[in-house]
Amino acid sequence: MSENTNTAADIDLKGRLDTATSPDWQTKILSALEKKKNLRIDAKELDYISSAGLRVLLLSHKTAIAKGGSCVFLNFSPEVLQILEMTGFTSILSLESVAE
Amino acid sequence: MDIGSLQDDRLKIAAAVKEDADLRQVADILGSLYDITPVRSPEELRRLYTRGQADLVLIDAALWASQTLPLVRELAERPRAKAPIVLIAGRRDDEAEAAAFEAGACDVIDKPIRKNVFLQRIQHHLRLSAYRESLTDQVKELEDSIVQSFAELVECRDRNTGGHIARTSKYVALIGMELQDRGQFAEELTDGELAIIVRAAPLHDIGKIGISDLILLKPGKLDDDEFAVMKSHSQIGADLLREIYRRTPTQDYLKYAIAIAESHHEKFDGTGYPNRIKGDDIPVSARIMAVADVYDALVADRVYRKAMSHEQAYGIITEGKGTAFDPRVVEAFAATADVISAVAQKKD
Repeated sequence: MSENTNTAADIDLKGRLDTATSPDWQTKILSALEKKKNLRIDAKELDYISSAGLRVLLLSHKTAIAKGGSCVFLNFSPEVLQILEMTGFTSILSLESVAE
Repeated sequence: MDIGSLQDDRLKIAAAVKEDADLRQVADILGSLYDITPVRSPEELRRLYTRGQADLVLIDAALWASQTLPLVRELAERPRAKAPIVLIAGRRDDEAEAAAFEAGACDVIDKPIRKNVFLQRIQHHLRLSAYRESLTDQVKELEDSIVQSFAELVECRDRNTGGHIARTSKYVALIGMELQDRGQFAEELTDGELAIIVRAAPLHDIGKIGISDLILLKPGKLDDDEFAVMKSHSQIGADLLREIYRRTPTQDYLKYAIAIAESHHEKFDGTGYPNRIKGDDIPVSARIMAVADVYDALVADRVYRKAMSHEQAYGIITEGKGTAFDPRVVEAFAATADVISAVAQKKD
């Protein structure tokens, strides 16, 4: 739960976003996007992301944009953020971090 | 320089302490300055540690007994280990204390805990840790900046659309991560090694610095002689990097830079250059860069032809499976092609 931002996140990513867990998370996120076109996803408890996980993030982003909405990710840990920077995802995704 | 750039500006101490009375004592001494998080299990500690949610870890050696040191070692050996680990020992035991330090603890504090000394030591460790982290970050940034600058200097001579270096590094990261997902090249593509390969990737064309402008900037296709000169950029780059590595053998990423610069134009079937090596003789990093480099070249405008579409480039890469490129690398590329295309389209 992010106490500093105005609205609570719609989805809290937890644990790993890898080949095994990605399908479920993808389903969850896409279902949420069916109901609400502006999604906030909190990644505070995301420990690890693999290639499969990156595809989920990209798909979530693209789906939201296609609906004229947005998909904002919050609170990636430094480790995961490093992966996002390495792969160019920091320029693609909408990111928000809790105010310093 | 701020020591605590965290949410509340208060540093967080994870305290794995056996007795409630001891926990209260720790909270008494440190609680006004730091946020104390009690930890009950090794799993919980691991989670806090890996999520970067602890700036310092206090472990009462009595709590997990013989499991303590292996846990300390495990945490301290993590490549991004940051938080200092401080043990609290029940009684003085020189051997156990030495073992604790050897395992990676940065301090051992004896009971009974002496209030003022304890506080000073914790503050001291936090300060040191912050300085070290800041320094490590700065050095790494400097290194990356230098590598990137040199690579871009060479690139700008080439007058290719800027960004080739940044993009190909990202494709290498993406293809590399996909290969990891598939369990391919597990030995050569650990997380640590992939990160180093990505850092080294910008230097793949540095040898172009030795190529005459007449050839480098020729507006048309190169004839055989000119192409022969152009091909020498692989060897020039590798030789240059070898010399630098000889002078600064501590820079591990240079090893990979040499491999990538030298062999990124080699072909899986042995018909590439400069050495006509084939198959598994080609370093994995170079096999990955080969795909990344060709893809980016195809989807970019060139002086002698317009940019191809993603689909066309995809087709050409997959056609080269087994001949120009390692089939496994092509498969990983194919699986992650959507993402690569998204990165390719980003103009910054």
